[in-house]
Amino acid sequence: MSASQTQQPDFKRELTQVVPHLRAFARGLCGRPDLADDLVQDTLLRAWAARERFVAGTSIRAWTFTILRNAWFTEMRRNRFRADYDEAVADRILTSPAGQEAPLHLADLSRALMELPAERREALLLVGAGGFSYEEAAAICGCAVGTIKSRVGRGRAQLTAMIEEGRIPTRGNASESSRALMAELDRITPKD
Amino acid sequence: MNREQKPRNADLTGDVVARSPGSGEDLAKAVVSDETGATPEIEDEIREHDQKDGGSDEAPPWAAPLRDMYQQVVEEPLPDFLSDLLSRLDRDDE
Repeated sequence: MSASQTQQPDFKRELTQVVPHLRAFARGLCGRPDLADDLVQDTLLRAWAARERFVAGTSIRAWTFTILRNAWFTEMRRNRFRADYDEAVADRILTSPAGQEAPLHLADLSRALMELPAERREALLLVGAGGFSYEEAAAICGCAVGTIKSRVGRGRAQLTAMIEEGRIPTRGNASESSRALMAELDRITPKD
Repeated sequence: MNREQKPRNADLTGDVVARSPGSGEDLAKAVVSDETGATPEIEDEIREHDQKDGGSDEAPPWAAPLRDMYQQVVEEPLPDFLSDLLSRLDRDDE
């Protein structure tokens, strides 16, 4: 049953409920709140335009995450979302929950994440933060389950080593992170 | 903390039900073998990474902060321009 056979208000309600999760995923991918929200806006417009293709009863969260990550890779190729990671914004926004011991500052974690190759970062975000199963994450990324497991394993090891060895990039190295990201995207995304 | 209850995702996963985030289980068990497509080479590689990582039974130190980082954004109020967009979606169709 497609969205055309179900109620449009239901689709809109589900879409509205998933927006906070789209923002969180996009923020993790982009590292910048403003660009992430632009990406979410694009995703919402694309999802609405394609709502006839959504199969009622399936996960709108997985469906919209797929749209968002595909839009992100596409737009990165077009240069639209190329920008340096915004340290000041991350420091202001990413603070540890009050009253909790926080050996790892969230801004440091965000900066470390941006050092990971894009494929590993999105795999960790989907499985480790978003709570998707390996199977769902593989479907979202359009790859085999084994590939997602490999990306999670490699990303996990890389992130752990970076943190344990104190190799989290400092503010001054943020542009280096951005360049590394772009080099990775150039490698993994097809040329137009 | 309101978490979305994800419906069973028949078109994506067959009989797989989405797991709840929060336990770090997937990260801790990243080396677990199954019949879903991981080649032995990939599994060996993951196992090797995991051993370097100090074992697979404990979630890494960044696992909980990663979820906190995600959840913190989930709990933020939506910016006005996204709320406005949502309210316009079906109006623009009329």
